[in-house]
Amino acid sequence: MEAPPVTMMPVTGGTINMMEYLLQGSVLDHSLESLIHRLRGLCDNMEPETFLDHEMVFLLKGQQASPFVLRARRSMDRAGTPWHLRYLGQPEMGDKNRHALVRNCVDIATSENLTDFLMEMGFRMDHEFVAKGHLFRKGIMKIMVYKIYRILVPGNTDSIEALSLSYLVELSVVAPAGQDMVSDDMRNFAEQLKPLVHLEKIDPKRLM
Amino acid sequence: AQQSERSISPPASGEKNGLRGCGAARVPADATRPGRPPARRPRSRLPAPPAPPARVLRAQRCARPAPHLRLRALRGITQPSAAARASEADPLLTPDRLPQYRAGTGSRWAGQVPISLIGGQNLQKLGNRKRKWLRLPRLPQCSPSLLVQREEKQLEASLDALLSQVADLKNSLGSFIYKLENEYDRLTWPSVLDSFALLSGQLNTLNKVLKHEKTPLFRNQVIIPLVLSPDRDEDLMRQTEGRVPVFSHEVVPDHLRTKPDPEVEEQEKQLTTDAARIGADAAQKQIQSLNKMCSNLLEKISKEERESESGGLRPNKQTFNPADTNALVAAVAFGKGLSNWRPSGSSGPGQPGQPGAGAILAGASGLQQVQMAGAPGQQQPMLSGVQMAQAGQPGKMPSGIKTNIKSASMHPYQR
Repeated sequence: MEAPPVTMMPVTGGTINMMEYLLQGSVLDHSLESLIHRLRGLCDNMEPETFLDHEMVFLLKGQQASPFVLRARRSMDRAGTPWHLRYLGQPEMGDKNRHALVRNCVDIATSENLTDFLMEMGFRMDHEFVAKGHLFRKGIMKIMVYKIYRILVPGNTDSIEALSLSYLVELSVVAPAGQDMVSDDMRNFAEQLKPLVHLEKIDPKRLM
Repeated sequence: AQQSERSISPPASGEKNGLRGCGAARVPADATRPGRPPARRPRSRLPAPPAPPARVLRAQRCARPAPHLRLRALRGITQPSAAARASEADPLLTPDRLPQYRAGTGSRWAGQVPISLIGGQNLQKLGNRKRKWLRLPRLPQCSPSLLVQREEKQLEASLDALLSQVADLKNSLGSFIYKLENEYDRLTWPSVLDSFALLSGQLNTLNKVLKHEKTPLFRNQVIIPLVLSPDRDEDLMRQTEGRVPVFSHEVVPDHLRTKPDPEVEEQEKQLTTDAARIGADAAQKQIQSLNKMCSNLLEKISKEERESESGGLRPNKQTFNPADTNALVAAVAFGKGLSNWRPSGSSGPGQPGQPGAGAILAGASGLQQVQMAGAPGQQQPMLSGVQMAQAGQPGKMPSGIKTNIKSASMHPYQR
């Protein structure tokens, strides 16, 4: 995946330079309760939030070797909420001094006819999944603990099955480019989740 | 005992000076320079004594003598009858009145003055008054020397420092006790800790004063009570805030003590000789071995701690599976293992509890007639049944596959 041409990037005031710092890990189903318990203690005092999202990943194959990827997400348990379109750039591992994976990121809220619009533009859906889990916040850090379900019948989000016996745990911060200090906070937070969960920066290229 | 012996032993010279009285005599006004407020006159500024006496007879200005003071010599005690005869004398020459006496503005000299309250130089003068009813051991005569004066001054200064420290300590203790007794209901732990910290700091300062290089060894000083009296002494009572009503043979040994008990001293000496007997090399070796043992012990303890910590978690099952992490990350990043119409990677989620699933599948790979009961996505061109099985729920192997595998594995034997 290469960075797309600038013209393809939605330029909306200031969001273009936002970076997502990411640490990932997983927790087995039977340890989920402990993790949730710990997160409730560590994170901001708020009502436990759950989500049930349907994510579709669209590709636009151009002349370039690698396609342009956009992710469309909609909430399945909350009617009336806007769709969420997201562009994620090429992840950078960085060196040892930066404790999190960094990738460019653009987030936009859209109307619900997003899929039609993307299809019209020439995108085609690559894959889709359902994410169901819990959301925590601590300051600007966002912690998502969710299970990924594969969709058995394309487009039918009712017939789903779990991908694995684990929950994916993601610790992410969206910050302006160059704010590498946030990765220190993230590392500190990740340390507190050990040994329940080991949050690491995982290079997805390694898993391709 | 040797110290007091030396100090108090009668000098060879001057029988006339050997007899010293300190009866009900007024200290001569010309003893000090007149015209100054006497109470403020520092003792160190008294005119140099013509013949400084031995340092045993130091003024003990403290109203309550430190409890560690040890009575080393009681030879200075005079006959009570002599003291009783001084009926017109002040009951006690109190320390705060001593300067008055010095300055010549005080009233009469006390018959019951503990000699410890009298500066050596004053004794000299008193001795010249030829009041014979109070006998004191004759003091050695030495020529005035600057060294002695300096020592005197040092002693004064360190006594002053000690007194002020002790007074501070006493005040803090008093207020702490008051607090404990009267404010216990609303006393908070932090404030108790504060009080403790204050006390400990003051004790430290006191120790520092005692260990200061300029502080002379107090145990080399001897305090001699001049008069003991079984009668109740109101002044003393007031001075000691009601703690010591009489200056009698019962309390004197404890209150004028400057050294530990002989047994304790003996033990200390024993320890010192033991320590001195060991050579420097041997001592160094012992220190090293002790250090080594300590560090070994520390290491063992910390190791044990670590082990018990991890051991406490060991009973818990693994809380995460790295393979699952990778599978999930790959799924969100590229949709790996998600798309049911695309050939997915070979790495199925490695679940604990179904080991050997891959092996079974590999063994089944040769079977073309695998039945995919209930497998979704039939519309897609199937590459092989194996991929379908992988795309399907890994935990729920279609029963058809099992049967087929069984038959396949039995195949060689059938032939």
